[in-house]
Amino acid sequence: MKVGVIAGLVSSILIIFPTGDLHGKYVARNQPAAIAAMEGLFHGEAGAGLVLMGQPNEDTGQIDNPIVVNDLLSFLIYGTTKAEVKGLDQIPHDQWPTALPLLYYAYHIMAGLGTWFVVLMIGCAFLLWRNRLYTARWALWALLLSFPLPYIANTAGWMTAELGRQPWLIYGLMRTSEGYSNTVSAGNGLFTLLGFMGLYALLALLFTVLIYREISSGPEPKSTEAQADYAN
Amino acid sequence: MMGFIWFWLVAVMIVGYVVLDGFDLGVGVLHLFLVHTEEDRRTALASIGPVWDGNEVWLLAGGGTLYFAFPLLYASGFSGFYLPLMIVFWLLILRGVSLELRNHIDVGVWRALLDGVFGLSSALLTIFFGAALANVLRGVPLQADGYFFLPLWTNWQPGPHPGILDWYTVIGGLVALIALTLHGALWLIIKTSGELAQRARRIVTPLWFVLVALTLASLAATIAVRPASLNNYFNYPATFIVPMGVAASLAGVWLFNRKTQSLKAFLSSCLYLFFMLAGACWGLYPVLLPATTGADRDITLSRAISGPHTLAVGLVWWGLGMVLAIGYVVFVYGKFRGKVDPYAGGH
Repeated sequence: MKVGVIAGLVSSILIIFPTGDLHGKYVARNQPAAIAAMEGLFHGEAGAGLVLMGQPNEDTGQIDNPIVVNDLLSFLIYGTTKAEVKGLDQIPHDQWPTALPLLYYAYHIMAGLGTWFVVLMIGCAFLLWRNRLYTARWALWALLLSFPLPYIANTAGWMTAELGRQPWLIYGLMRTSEGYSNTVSAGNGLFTLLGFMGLYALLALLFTVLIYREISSGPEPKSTEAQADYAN
Repeated sequence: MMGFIWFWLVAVMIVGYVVLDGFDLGVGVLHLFLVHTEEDRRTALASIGPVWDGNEVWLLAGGGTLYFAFPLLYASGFSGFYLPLMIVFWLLILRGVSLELRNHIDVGVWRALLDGVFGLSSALLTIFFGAALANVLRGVPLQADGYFFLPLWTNWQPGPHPGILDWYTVIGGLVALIALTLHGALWLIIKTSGELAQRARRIVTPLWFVLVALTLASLAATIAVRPASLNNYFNYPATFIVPMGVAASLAGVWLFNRKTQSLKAFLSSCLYLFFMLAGACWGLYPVLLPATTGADRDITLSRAISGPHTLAVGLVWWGLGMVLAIGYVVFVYGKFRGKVDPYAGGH
């Protein structure tokens, strides 16, 4: 448990800073349409705010029910709150990511879960430091229930990357509509997609069953001298 | 020059894959027919357990370098063969999963199910691989832009409008099935002892006879379907050593098996696969994918190849990768040398 919490703390912080931060700046420089779409920035402005929550409305070009932190997006991308961030209105409509709401939500799910991981790990690390982690049932439940969240965050992150790059296959050079195989019919593609989904669903089921069996059978009993060390 | 080098590098990796994963697939086929008791099944799986994953790496290496060195071939071939390729992926997944998870749940019906999946997927993989090679050797109906589409079958003739299945590719699939099953049997003789090894030794005989017949049939059929296959041989008569090598290695399998020199018999089988594939490649060179719609549409080496700088840089990295890959092969086969203990566990 100790190793897990410490590793979790270190890695969840590293994900956000510096690696996530650098990646975000890289995307802003190289894929401006993607960053505008995932942040829901319909109108470019200096001192752009970071949308924490809200629903992107493509028809009105607004975020409905927004909770915004002012100036923060400019600061995160360019390091100064006065910087101009390119919005979707400055990009031709045929170069917008095609599934904009999905992209927006995928990105916010990923970022939100990333934040939760940091909060959870800081909380558990603090309790560990105070030697209260093993008796704080609410913390242990939070850890247990958070087990599937990294998989979801991972998938949402990949969706962000792949949806953000649309409509480009090779960014700025070749569109997806120009690059696919002409000789593969739609039916063929659908059949294999369903085939893979079915296979992966089966494997996911198998994985869950096997992991459950492993966990419910418990860890191997250690020798008696080591048992006192087990709690550490 | 670079084209020649890369053609044979890709060929070497594909040959390496067939020789290495071939016996895994062969053991899979035999798993259905030869191996009946629980002890035998565990033994057979343990004989390939530590090595099968590393063997499959050579398929990725071959496919990856094919993409790298000959992107047009990759684009054309993998688009045209899209559905068979996806099915091969599924079979590879099913084989790997059934192999690894079989011993994880201690329930009879689970083990029986996964044994069946393992055997069936291995058998289908050999047939698919053989038919795929036969499709390449026969040629495909390439259009002017380099793409093609093949229905599953047309009239079963390898004429100008073939399907994926015709009498020639069926022969190809059967050759692969029998050759790799024999290869797997020879591996089992090396790695197992007792009753299972005896049964494996006995099945080599009928497999060998069928393989000789199929080899002769496939060689004759290839010449009939694509007479241009012989051009390189007649231009460089020294390369007739390749079909002679095929015959010699087949003889070696028979002789060494009779004298119960199992390692030499297995190595002869490796040589057989090497000579068959090298011979097929030499029959093709420099064409990569022949066209049944006219030789001007063949995908040749010069049409498909990447730029010279790319290939030169790639050669350096390929060398480093090969050192790692070969080092690993030597290490893992050395570590798991000798007869198998079915209950040693953990692969």
